[in-house]
Amino acid sequence: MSIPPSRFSGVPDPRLSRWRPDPDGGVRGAAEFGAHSPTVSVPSSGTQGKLVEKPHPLTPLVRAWVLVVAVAWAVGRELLNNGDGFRLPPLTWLTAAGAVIVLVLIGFAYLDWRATSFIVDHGELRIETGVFTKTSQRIRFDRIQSVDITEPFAARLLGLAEISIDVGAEGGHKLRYLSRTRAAAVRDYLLARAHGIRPVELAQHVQTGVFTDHGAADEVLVRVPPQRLVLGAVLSHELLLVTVPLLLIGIALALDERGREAVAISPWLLIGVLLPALGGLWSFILHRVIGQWNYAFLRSGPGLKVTRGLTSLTSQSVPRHRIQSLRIAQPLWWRRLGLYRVDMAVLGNHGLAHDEDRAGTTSILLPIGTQAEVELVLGTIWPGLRLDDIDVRPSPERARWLQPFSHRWVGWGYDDSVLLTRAGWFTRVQMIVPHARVQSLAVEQGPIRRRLGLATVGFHTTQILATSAARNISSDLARTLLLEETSRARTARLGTLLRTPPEA
Amino acid sequence: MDDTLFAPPAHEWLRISPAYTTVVRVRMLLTTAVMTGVATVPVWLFLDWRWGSAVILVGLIWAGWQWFRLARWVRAWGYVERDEDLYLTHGLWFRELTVIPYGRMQAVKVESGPLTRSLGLASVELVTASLQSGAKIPGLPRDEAEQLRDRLTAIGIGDQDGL
Repeated sequence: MSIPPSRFSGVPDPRLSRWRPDPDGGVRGAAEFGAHSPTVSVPSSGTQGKLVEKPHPLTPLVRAWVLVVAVAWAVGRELLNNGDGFRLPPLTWLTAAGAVIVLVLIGFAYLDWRATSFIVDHGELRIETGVFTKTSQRIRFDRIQSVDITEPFAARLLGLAEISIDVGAEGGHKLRYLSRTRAAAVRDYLLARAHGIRPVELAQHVQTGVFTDHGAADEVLVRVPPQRLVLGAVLSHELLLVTVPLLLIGIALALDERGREAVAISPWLLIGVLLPALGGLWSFILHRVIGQWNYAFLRSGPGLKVTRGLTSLTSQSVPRHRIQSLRIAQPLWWRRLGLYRVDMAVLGNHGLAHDEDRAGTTSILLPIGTQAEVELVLGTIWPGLRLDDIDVRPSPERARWLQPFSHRWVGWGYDDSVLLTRAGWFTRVQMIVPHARVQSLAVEQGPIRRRLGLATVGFHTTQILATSAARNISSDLARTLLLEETSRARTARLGTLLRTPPEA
Repeated sequence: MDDTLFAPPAHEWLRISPAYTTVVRVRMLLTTAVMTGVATVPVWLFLDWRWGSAVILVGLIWAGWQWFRLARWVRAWGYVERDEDLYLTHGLWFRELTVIPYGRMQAVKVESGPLTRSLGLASVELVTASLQSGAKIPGLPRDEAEQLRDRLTAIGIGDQDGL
């Protein structure tokens, strides 16, 4: 798949005049941040002057698009109902009040746009909003954990994008809305500042496309073709759970006399009955296929990011240092094809997957990939991870009573840096938890396990992708594991995982 | 075999106050009364009074059995403070032993509802970054709870939170 050529190449930004030039001339910053054409120098810290960025004028339209569509629909319907030609609706109190309300709302939207600005000062980013009560939110650059670009559906139609800044606390900050290239340039600048580099240039030309968000210096590591996404969705058991009710209802209605009569009388009955199942199907397709379209895993400067999405484009940074645990899952029907899905739990990813088609941050690191791709992704995130060298211990034979189908798969193992646990019979799940990320541990033993002399040791982590536990192991081993893991969790550090090990 | 699994890591388990038994018994009686009432009414209306009385009898038997069992359940709670971590155990049928390193604790909460307060008890909850931790010691005498909280806070909570 080739990246479509950018539509924004070479045209200077008419809002250039708003950038104030640096009297000292500045210092050329890191060249890797997409500087391809004439750039504007940004004042370095200490000098007066700052960057001021205004949101795009179409912002109020996007923020209230539902309202705009509703108003347009209502007005359009009125006009159409009046037959041919354009005639104003009669001037009743209702229409006059409606018109006044709409005008007032437009006025407020304009004032709000006027009052909003994003200011980059020497140590911080400030978001100033508010028409009557001025609000100024300060974000220090060293607090920025990740900066992501999202194009929600309405914004995407107009060529706009929003920037989400995650500072590790509840809810991030959002800069709404900027044009696509502008947003990419600002994102690159913020990321550079957050990593400690001070590019005093804001790249004026950053290559972005309609379907992708790749800077010129980005290195694409993994790309998932849409065919594989669709195949994965078709072969997933969630799809079966959603379509089987549809089929059953259809068959039941077709076979039953009264059903056929009822449908013949009113076809809408069929839709009404099928609506919940159809809604589930739509939501599934949205999440799995449309939301992950054009998935790409890239290295961008010093960081890693994931871009995906068809109707809403999302660009999400992958902060290696904040990943709490990884989950590798393989549903039954993917086993023949050798495909896996990788999820990550990242600290601070609140507000997961908002917006209609799941724009925003999600936990999916690799929606569907071959084993080689999974190894590449894992090797990029945690170079020190040696999954193959971990010796996976199975449960004792008597545990077969409790796990009849998954006995061959269930097991656990560890090495110096991570714990590996396996579970699941229909979907085979592996959880990788670094020792340093284990918060607390617990041994559980119910009456049945007590009879069999087994116990389960659970490892608690911050976000729960799946329960990470050494299941149904013998009681003595459980005790030893509990005590040893406590000391390992205390002393382990993440450093060995994040660094490439020296060649043996 | 399960004695070794749930044995304290050192010394003996420190137990919670026996007065907590009153609290759990009261809760159990209220819940059982409500559930029995909710179950009896439709049975009495739709079937006959014999079935209704059977339901009430089941409720009474359950309450009686739980009354005596809860005393054992409260005695099964235990905790031990060691140098680097805190061990908790609870449960009769579904036994659990939880270990929480001091470095992973984010906060210590001492709470008491109206009933526990009237008996001079409080519960201590250890908050880590994980929702799964579920570390709560209910029914400690109030001053003991506050001393435990102060000791844990003095150690230096969350200095190694591993996040």
